[in-house]
Order: sequence, then C-alpha cells, then structure tokens
Amino acid sequence: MNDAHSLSRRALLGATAAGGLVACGSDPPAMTGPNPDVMPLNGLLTAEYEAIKAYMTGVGIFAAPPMGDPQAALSLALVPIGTNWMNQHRQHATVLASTIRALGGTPVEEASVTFTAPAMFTNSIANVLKLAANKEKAAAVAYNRTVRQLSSQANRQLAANIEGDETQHFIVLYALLKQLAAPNVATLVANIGEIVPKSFVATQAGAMANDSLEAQMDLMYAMM
Amino acid sequence: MLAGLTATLAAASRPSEAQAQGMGDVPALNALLTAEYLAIGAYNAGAGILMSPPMGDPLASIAPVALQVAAHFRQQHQDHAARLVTLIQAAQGTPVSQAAAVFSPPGPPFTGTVLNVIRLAANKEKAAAVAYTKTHASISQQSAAEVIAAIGGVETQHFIVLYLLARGVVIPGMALGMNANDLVPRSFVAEVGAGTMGLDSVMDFTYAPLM
Repeated sequence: MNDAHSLSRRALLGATAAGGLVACGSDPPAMTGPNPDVMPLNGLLTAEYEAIKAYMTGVGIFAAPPMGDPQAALSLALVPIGTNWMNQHRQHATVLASTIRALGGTPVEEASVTFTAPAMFTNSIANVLKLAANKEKAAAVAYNRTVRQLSSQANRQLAANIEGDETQHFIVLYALLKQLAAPNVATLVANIGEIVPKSFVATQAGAMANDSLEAQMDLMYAMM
Repeated sequence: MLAGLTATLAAASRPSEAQAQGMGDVPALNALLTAEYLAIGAYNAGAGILMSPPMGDPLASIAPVALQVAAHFRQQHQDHAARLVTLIQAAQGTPVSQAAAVFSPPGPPFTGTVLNVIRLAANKEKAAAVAYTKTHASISQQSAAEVIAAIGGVETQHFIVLYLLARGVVIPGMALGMNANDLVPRSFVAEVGAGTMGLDSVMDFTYAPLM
C-alpha cells in the first residue's frame, strides 16, 4: 500500500471519529467530548514516533552497512544527517504532544508505536534512502490532508509548519535518488547541519526560537 | 405577512456564516497571490541573467540547467497563482491583478551573477514559505487552509533545493539536464482541486536487493 494513503487515512479516521462523537451527542458539542483536534493531532504524533523509529533503524544501517554496499563511502555523512532529521522529528513530536495536552487530550505513547520495515526491504544504504523518501512524502501528504480536519487556526498552522519540514526532507532525498542533485564531496561534511537546517518553517510556540526558517539569516549577495 | 416576507428576503440576501468566513479570507489570499506574481516576476528577471551570465561568471557552466529549473519553478508559481485565483473567486472576492505586482531586484550588493540569482531565489522562496505558514492564523475556511498548506509545502521544497545549491552543498546531478521538471515534481503537496496533482501521485521508490 502506498504509505501516503495509510498515514493519511489514520489521521483522517481520527478526525472523522472525533467529529462523529461531537455530532451524535445530545448535549451541546461544546459541553462534552474531547477537543475535536486531539484525534487528528494524535494521528500525526503517531506518524512522528514511527518516523523516529524508522530513522533509528536507518541510521543503524548507515553506521554499519552490509558488506559490499556500493554506497558505503557515504556512511560518514549519512549518519549525522539521519540523526539530525530524527531529532527534527523529535521536535515535531514534542510540540504535537504538548499541544494535545493543552487541548485536554492524552498524547499517544511513544512506546505504543512500532516501526516495521516494508515488504521487499533489505538492508542497504540505497534502500534506507528510498524508505526515508517514501515515508517523508507520505508524512507531508498526511499533514496536508490533516490541515483540513483541524478546527483551530493555531493547530492548522502547526500542522503546516511541520509539513514544510517533511517536504524538505522528501525533496532532498528524492533529488539525490533521482540523480537530479549530487553531494559536493568537498563541502558536504562541513555543512551537514545545513541539509534541512531547521525543524519548523515559522517560529513555533513550544520550540526553540531559532529552530525555524523564519529565524534563519538570508543568504548574502556578493560581487563576482 | 409582507413584513415576514421582507424579513425572509433580507435574511436570504445576507451571506451565510460560511460565506462570510470565505470573504474574510480574501485579503490574506490576495496577499499570497501578490507574492506568487512577484515570484513569477523574480524568476523572469533571473532568467534574463541565466540566459546571458556576465563574462567570467564562475558558475556560467551551470547557467543552462539553472535556467531550466527556474522555468520549471516559475511554472509552479503560475499553478499556485491560478489555484489562488479560483479560491478567491469562489469566496466572492476579486483577485489582485498580476500587473499590479511588480518585482524589483534588490539593490547593491546584488549584482547579476548566476550565484546571486540562486541566492535571491532561495531567499524569496524561504520568505514565501514562512508567509504561507503564518497566513494560517488569518484563514477561517478549512478548505482554503488545505490549499495554502499544499502550496506552502512546495515553496519549502524550492527553498531547500536552491539553498543547498547556493551553499555549494550539492551540485547539479547528471540527470538534471534531461529531467529538470522532476526537481520538485509537483506544484502541490496534495491534490486540492481539479488540475492540481500532488505528491500523492508520485510513485514510491521500490526497494532492491544488493547485487
């Protein structure tokens, strides 16, 4: 199954169930039931925890690729990149969990979320990169679909803020796998932290003030 | 009875709450539409430099492929503008005119070099991505919010590709010249209306065993 459909469906089912609970009750919606945004946000939080576990597995393969892996030389760069991105997903999860609590909900437990490698997956650096690309694309689409389900503007902004990070993860992997871009070996290791430099697009409450593209200095122009 | 009929007609002529919310979104949507028109203008200006980089430009060799990418990104901004126009009109609003959005290149120290064009594009795409994200605080219609998210997530893709190229972290890949339109493969993150293909239509990568 396409990852985008399974992740998106999980989030949408959460939103639909919440809406149904509110619509069917005989009491005024405002008086009973959880905040309707809790379930879709928990769907996204589940996806973040799964991403963290997927990156843990992937970084492990980067650090110790199988014998004969043709891309073993990239290991030195891929381990810190994978670790950075895993930490960005951790930031996303932290803000989602605190948002859910603030809404009076209970965040899903990280321990309850498991990652299972898909069918046909075998350990290699290329397969890890492909898996990450597929998952990031699915996450971006899921976040986008969830925006429509969220009732509060702040929560929709939060979802969009994280979605913009997943899309960056996706396109970097996609461009490399499709050979549309290639790493500049001479500068790569010194610039590991620049490969998707921030966890959020805009400054996000509950996250570090400088962990957003909004806080990032513009590139400076120079004479030739 | 006449008073009742008058009251009914008056009520019918007032916008519904949903319609009022949609109309309330129009100024924010028009601000984003202006940004898209400015982006198109910026890519047009950049294309002029990429078509004829200055003598001695150290990145002149990548100008042709950069021009292809610029054309592709510009088309995606046109797709965004078209979708925003539809959204604004559906909300009974009047879209801003493209002629009113005039791009002016930055002043010194900006000079017309390939690297400066890439840097300018990266800066503008970052600003656009941030603007799209923050606009959610002003948008009441959830359906409009979905469209904005679908576009904002493309500006972020534009940004990171340009940023990494400008920083020298990546170089054009061997397949870019033949497949420039595949760099940021869709104009929207998810399908958000007729003619808006999203990343959900991009095939997953398939796994292969080590040979």
